[in-house]
Amino acid sequence: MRTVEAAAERIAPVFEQLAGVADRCILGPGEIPCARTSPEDLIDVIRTLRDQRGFTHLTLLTAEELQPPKPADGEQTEAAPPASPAGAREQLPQTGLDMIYGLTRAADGTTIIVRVALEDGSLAVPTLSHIWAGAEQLEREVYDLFGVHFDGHPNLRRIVLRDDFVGHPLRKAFDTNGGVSSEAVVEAVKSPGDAPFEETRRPNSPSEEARLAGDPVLHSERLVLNMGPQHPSMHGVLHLWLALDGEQVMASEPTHGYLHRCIEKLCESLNYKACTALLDRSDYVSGFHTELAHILALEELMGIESTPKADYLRVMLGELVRITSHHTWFAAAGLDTGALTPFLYAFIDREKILDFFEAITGARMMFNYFRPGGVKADMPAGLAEEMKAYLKTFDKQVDECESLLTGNEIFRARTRGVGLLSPQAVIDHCVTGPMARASGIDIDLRRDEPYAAYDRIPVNVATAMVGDTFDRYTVRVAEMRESARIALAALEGMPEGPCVNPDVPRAIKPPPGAAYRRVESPRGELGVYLVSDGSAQPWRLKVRSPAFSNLHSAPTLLNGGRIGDVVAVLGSVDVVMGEIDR
Amino acid sequence: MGVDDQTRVLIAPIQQLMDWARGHSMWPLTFGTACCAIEMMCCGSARYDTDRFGIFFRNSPRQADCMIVAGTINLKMAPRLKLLYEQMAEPKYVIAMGSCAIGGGPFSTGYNVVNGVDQIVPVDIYVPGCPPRPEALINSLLLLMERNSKGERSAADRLVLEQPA
Repeated sequence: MRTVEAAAERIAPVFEQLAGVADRCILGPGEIPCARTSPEDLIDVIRTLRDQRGFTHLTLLTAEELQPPKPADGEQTEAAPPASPAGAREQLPQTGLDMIYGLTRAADGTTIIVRVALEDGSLAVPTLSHIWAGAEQLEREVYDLFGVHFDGHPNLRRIVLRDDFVGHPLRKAFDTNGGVSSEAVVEAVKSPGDAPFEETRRPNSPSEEARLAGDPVLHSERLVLNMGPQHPSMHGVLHLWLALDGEQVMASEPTHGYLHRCIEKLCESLNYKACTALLDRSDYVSGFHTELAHILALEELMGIESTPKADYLRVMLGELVRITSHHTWFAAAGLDTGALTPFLYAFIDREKILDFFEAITGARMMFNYFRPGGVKADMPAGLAEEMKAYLKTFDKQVDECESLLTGNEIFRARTRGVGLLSPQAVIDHCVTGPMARASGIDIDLRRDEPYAAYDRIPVNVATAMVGDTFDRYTVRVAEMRESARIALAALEGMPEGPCVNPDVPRAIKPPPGAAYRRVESPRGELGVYLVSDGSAQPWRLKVRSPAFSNLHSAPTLLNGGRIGDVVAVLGSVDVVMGEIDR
Repeated sequence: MGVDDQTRVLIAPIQQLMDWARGHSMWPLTFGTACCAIEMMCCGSARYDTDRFGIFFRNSPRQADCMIVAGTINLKMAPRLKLLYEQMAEPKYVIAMGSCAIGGGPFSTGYNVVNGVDQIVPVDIYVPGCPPRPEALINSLLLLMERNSKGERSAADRLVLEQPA
């Protein structure tokens, strides 16, 4: 277990250096240090942390509306301001927002939160997109949902909502009117809702502008290709814009938002336990991980602990769901390179694990199983033996799947040396998970920041060196084997005892404060930033989506490559649109 | 339908012949957007194996008979749904798979979610569940084929026929 004293000792010199530009503040009951600064000093603070203190990884970039002051007489009143009429959506208050930045130091896993108060009425803050390329899209999301303007941002457009959407929905004053009316749907169907890329997209750099103009020697012409959102190889509703010069990809840009389901806003009106049901649906191939991040943050806010048995169950189910998620990826990786058989093989194995999920949680995909202080119910009697027997033979099934692709000459030719991601690009684009590990960046939260029972179960982290599509494949296959081993170890070491902490109060009302907890999902670092105002519903719930950042590194992988490789490379990114759009 | 004894030629009204054909093979367009799409993929996998019923998933609307809307449709996706539906050849059918496609599901009060695809395209069959099990989806496809073999009209056709002149 991490000790609070050791963490405080590690962070003290950082605050000494930041003296004068940032003040230390209290985030919540957890041990995450927090620094408060102003928009003018933000770049200074971030540069100091990144360049001199080793906080190279940008993990969180979001905004949070400030809570209104509590009434002095202690009387409970509605916290939300009065709903504005539909016509006045644009007239949102221009104050009362905080920008939240989370930075992590890979060396010791320390995370620091930087808060910036936007007070001057213009909701403007300097952009970080020149420090981290991946911040560009994260800032676009904040602009879209909160209306914060980023000074110096190269491409500040909406990213998840339609271009003609009015208002910024995560502001508290935004009135949802109880949902979308049928008239609005009729109106929406009339136009695509986003202008063609040629009109809206400005080249990111002079070199890209030159590339987009075509080859001056060959006098070639640029061809624009739109893949998706309904495309068999787009892994959901991803829309990829490609500028081609013959076979070569000159520029590319992923567009998403076709599955934006307002999860973060809806969670603000649900009680804490009900949020897990929606979070299951955000990352629908590995629901346990989003649930777990939320529950860990909630437990931190409430100061309760889960039981040892629940910790083991959480690890075991998390690893099994990682296997099923990688099965889905494996099936798609085969289909993307023209092989149907891997899909059939992978789904046979996946179904077996889904049967276990169904026996334990009652559902194949939407589990809603983790609770504050533990899990919903114990495993059925006798299932553990069945699962152990299955997991002991699991390696053989991976061998069988691997025999279809790993040594396959066509597969190797199509993936080796294709879609290279350099270690520097991993840092720049905030890439995490198997994608980062395939590029030689050895990060894994299960080992670096152990949660649940990972401090009692050793984790071997698979890495590779080249960072091409084939390496991402080998890392994920190695992870499947390792996950089965961890799940087996969790089953065998599972202590007896209650499944849920009996001290958890019936009414979940955490004291005011914020918490940020991260878990290692099949796609990388999945975090939940949870803010409580003392009521039964979260004030703000932000999901840090690993696939979001991974997806936006795709142009680095695709540009300069061939059009025929686009699908194979995107398959190796393993995107889940539900989690990207939320 | 009957076989002429002398010429050994099958004689049937063309409509009846078409109904028979449509009742035995149904090629759905995979319009999977969200969680339900994963269960739809399971339908095509070895355990549930929809191929045995003559159900082959198609990726092009031009080759598809019915559209399975598997997942949430939001305001950004809605025009694309309509466009793909219009690209399908007649007669065309729509299956609304899962709570979201039926009525917005758990996201129905959101600011960006279409509360049911029947606001955009006429729906033939609703499959409840969040997500529905693969068996439920297969059942809906079989039901659709059964209806077709009886010569029942699609929801889109009925919409046109029942319109007051």
